[in-house]
Amino acid sequence: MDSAEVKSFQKPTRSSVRSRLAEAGYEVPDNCIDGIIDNLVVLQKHAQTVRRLPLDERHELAPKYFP
Amino acid sequence: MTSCHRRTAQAIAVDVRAGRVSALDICRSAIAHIEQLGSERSGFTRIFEERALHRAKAIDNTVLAGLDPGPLAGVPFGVAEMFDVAVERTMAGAQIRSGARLSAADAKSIQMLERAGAILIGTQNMDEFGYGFEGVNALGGTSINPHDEQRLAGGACGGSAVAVASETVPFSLGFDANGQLRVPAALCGIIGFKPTHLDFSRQGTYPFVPSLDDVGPLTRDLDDLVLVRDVLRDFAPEKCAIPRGDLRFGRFGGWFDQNLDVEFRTLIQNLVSAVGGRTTELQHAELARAAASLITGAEAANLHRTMVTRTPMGYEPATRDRFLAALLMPADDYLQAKRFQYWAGGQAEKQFEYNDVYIVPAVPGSGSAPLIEDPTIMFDGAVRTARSYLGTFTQPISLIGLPTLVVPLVHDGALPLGIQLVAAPGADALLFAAARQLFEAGLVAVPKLP
Repeated sequence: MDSAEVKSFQKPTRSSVRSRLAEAGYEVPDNCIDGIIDNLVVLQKHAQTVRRLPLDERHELAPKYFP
Repeated sequence: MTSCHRRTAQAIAVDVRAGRVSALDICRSAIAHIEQLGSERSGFTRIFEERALHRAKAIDNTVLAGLDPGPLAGVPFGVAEMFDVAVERTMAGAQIRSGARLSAADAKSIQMLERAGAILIGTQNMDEFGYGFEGVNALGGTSINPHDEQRLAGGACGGSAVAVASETVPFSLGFDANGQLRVPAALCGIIGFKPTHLDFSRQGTYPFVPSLDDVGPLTRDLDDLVLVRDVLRDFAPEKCAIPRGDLRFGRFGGWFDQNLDVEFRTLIQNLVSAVGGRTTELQHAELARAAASLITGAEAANLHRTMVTRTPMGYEPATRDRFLAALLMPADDYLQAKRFQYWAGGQAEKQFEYNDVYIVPAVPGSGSAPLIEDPTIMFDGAVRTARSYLGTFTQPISLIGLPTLVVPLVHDGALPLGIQLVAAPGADALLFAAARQLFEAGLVAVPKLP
């Protein structure tokens, strides 16, 4: 399997998370924000890992999202 | 309290069917044991005494009438709080579900086990909604490891593992998406089985990660596990044949060797050498773990979106923050993870061309249970939460849908160490043949309680 180039993610901040929650239509108490940031950082690392998969539309993986 | 319930499921069933012991005595004895230990040490959160005793009387009457009550006659068992029980609330370890509707019927797997004569006596503790590897819950408390009361039992199905390890029941039914039953089985020194994906019915279980969820049993005895599996599959024929010659063992090295203490790694290497196995790599194991984490977050958060955004403070903080963070991740990353899952599933057969069964550590680090006071493990050179990292070695295996059996390694230490035996999809029966070989050679064994 080939490997795709992946750019690093920007770390979420309290204000960026507040904005993203609001844009998505979620109202969340302020004391949840730090916990959300911690978990977002973990998920970003995982996303960075899976983005190594190539996205070439002719690749063997391209059309196969689900069995 | 007697000890008649502390034997294997098969020994209990043989005696009940022969009329040598009553199912009623077995159930009363198991319930008395649970009450004596209390919730955190027995693993049970609720006891259905009236239901269980009623059912036990029916089994005894069947025997008196000269009829056969089934291969699991009079065998008490418990289920994780994820399973529906008729006229009870499916709590899924969550305070927020205390107002949920009562279940209309038992989960299919409970029905199948009770049709075979087994008797459900209660529900068992788990991490909230199954999201965690510690076995700690604000509602049900901490599942305490029977081998060392200062240590975690692991999770999410911590209560189900504790119940079996503490000998209150011969088997429990848990669930596994990422290691939820394999991690506590390993830390509590018992046998845990995650079948080929969807080999057992999930009907009537509270969903966690629909594309990974499976139901699975935990036992102290391999033959008990085989019998329970037969019942859960309705004695369907096997999908693969056992090879005539010797089983070919292998070991996944590479990514699975990193973040493993030297002592634990040496024990596994010695075990593999003893059965003539070779070391290879599970392709893209790190990617598989990352994909499993993204799929888990996305699917679980999607199921809870309405509830967690409407009443976020009704959740335990760790669960809530994970769900809310997952809701902010791009759909593209979930699709990318699914794409990898499908590709890896298609590649899985190739991994088994030269080996029938792979041996893999069940948890990273020392392989033993973390302290309750300090629920952390070392990973990638940093201190990490046990809640997130105990499943590091189970996640890649289940992402691909491979059947896995956890068995306790024989060693000189005081705490149980579990290994995973992994086979190709549909080759579940090979796991039991492999485990039997290891048990007979004295390489694995269920440790006695201290």
